[in-house]
Amino acid sequence: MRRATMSFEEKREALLRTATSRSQGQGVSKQVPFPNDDVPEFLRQYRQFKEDSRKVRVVAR
Amino acid sequence: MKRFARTVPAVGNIEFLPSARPFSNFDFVDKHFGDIWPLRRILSQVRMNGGETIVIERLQDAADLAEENADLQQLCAGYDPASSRAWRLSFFRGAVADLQALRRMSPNRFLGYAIVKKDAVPATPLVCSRGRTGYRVYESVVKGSRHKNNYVRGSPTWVCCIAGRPLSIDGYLYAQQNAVTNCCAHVAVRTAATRFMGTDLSYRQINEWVAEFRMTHGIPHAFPGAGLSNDEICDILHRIGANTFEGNYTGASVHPVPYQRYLYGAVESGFPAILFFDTQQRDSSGQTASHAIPIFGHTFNEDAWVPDANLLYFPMRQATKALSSDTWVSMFLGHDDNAGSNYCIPRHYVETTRTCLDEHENRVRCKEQEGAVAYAIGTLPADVKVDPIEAEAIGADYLLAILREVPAGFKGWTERWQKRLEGYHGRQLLVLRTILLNGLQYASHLKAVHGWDKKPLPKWLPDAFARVADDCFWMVELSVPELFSANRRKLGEILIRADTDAGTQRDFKNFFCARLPGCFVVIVDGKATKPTGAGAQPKFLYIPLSVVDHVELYGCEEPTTGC
Repeated sequence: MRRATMSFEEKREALLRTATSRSQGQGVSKQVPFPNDDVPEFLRQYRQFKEDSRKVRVVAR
Repeated sequence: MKRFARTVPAVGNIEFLPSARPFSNFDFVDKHFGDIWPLRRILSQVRMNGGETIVIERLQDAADLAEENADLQQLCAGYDPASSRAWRLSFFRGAVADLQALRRMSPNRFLGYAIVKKDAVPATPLVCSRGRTGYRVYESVVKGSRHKNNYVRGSPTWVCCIAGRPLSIDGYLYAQQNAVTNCCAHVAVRTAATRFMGTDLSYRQINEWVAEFRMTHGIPHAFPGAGLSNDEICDILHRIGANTFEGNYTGASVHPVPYQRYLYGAVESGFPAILFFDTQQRDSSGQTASHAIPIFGHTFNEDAWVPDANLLYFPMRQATKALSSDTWVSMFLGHDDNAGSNYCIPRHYVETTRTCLDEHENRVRCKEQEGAVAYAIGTLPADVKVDPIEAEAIGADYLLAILREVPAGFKGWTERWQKRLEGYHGRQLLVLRTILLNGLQYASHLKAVHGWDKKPLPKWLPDAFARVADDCFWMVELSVPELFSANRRKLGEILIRADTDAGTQRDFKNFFCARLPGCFVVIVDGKATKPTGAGAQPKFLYIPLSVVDHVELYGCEEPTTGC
């Protein structure tokens, strides 16, 4: 019987398992801080720009 | 099967015309095709590619041409389809004397073709007030530039039938408008759409879809030659299986990204874009009209001054605080239906709208307003829900944080590259290049690349991507200016999920993996991660790798010469 398609999260966990087993105990886990909101703020501005762009009508001929 | 002008059998005699020097392309065009400007450009490209023979065939029964003639007659009742004439010009490297020589010759001597059509459209109120009689290039595909620093990806293949012999040519299709049943926007969208369809898109089909769109949205219908709007173009592209990302540059507002990022983001992954710009020409009502052209490639100038100038004189305001690889692009490659095919368009030749202050401190349009960019549309496959501009920002956000936190004393991480990368990062000189690929392509890339000492990556690494062979990712590659421009090499990359909307939250749900000198990085607690902004501290696992320095960029794997 064919195995059901894995979700993205399951594939990511499978990659983690493979990487952990291949690291032979040499892997190091670490918390990584994200100290500012620059990129989320850029994404908000950019998304707004795209939405506003779709509201205008520019005709080319 | 539809009988296209590029495949239909010819009628009457087939002429094999030697076109090597002293043959004059100017005389040829003047004598046979009036003053048709784009044909001169096409013949110039043929000359540059070593063309020495033109095969001329008269066409009569092409269904696509007959369809256009019927549509012309519908809009201009006085137009007589029987008066329409068409020729297929095919171009070959070296001498091709006759039919036998054509059948024997190597197919790689075929340089492309042009369908030239002559119509006499009578003066018709509201549609074509002055009438139009003359020649135009109905369509053409010719071999691209011989220059090594021109990059065109995703070119469709066009099968032709020249004097009974099937031959094919790769390239983005060029066409010239007739200003009645189509305009510049029609030909631009036709060029872009064929990238996704694997076949041609007729003007009649475009016009039927536009009529439906206008009816649905309550937009008054006008004849096709009057133009297409940005939303109509996007609707057509969505219907043929493309996704679009758009930027409006007509206003005076501050734009979060320059329009060039729309063009480059699409073409670098092999998908075309459409650029609108206002011209200095005005119609009878005094309105300026936008012109639309398809963009499908770029040049790469390894000696570009821009990265250093950014550091020294023009500090960046980008959220990523890094250089995008389009910094080394000096030209975009595209067609202009009025002028011809495969032109280089300097990236700063057409600029975005800008405003100035007048003597009373009022905001007014500058003189540069005319001729400015109005709108940009990038295309992607329909299942790609993150655009390259978003992907690059997200990828840089994750990757640069992971880079800053490589565990102290980590095996595989060398102090020399740590110090160098910190230095480049501090001066905002890290380079990012964003490419769309699937898991299989990434695995093949990992198998092919080698460190500077020629060490390969461990075999388990590419094998680990078998489960995601068909999944679509944005890969953001990380490099530094000297490595990127001169050696076409990089220090790492990150994979971001492309098939699900990324949103604006920093939630790590789209992170898949990253690689840096000497380490491979996966997320440990991805499932438990909650949407977070500043202050987030997800946990990553750093695994040592044997390649501790730089490897080839995607598409530049040695010993291939893709770069």
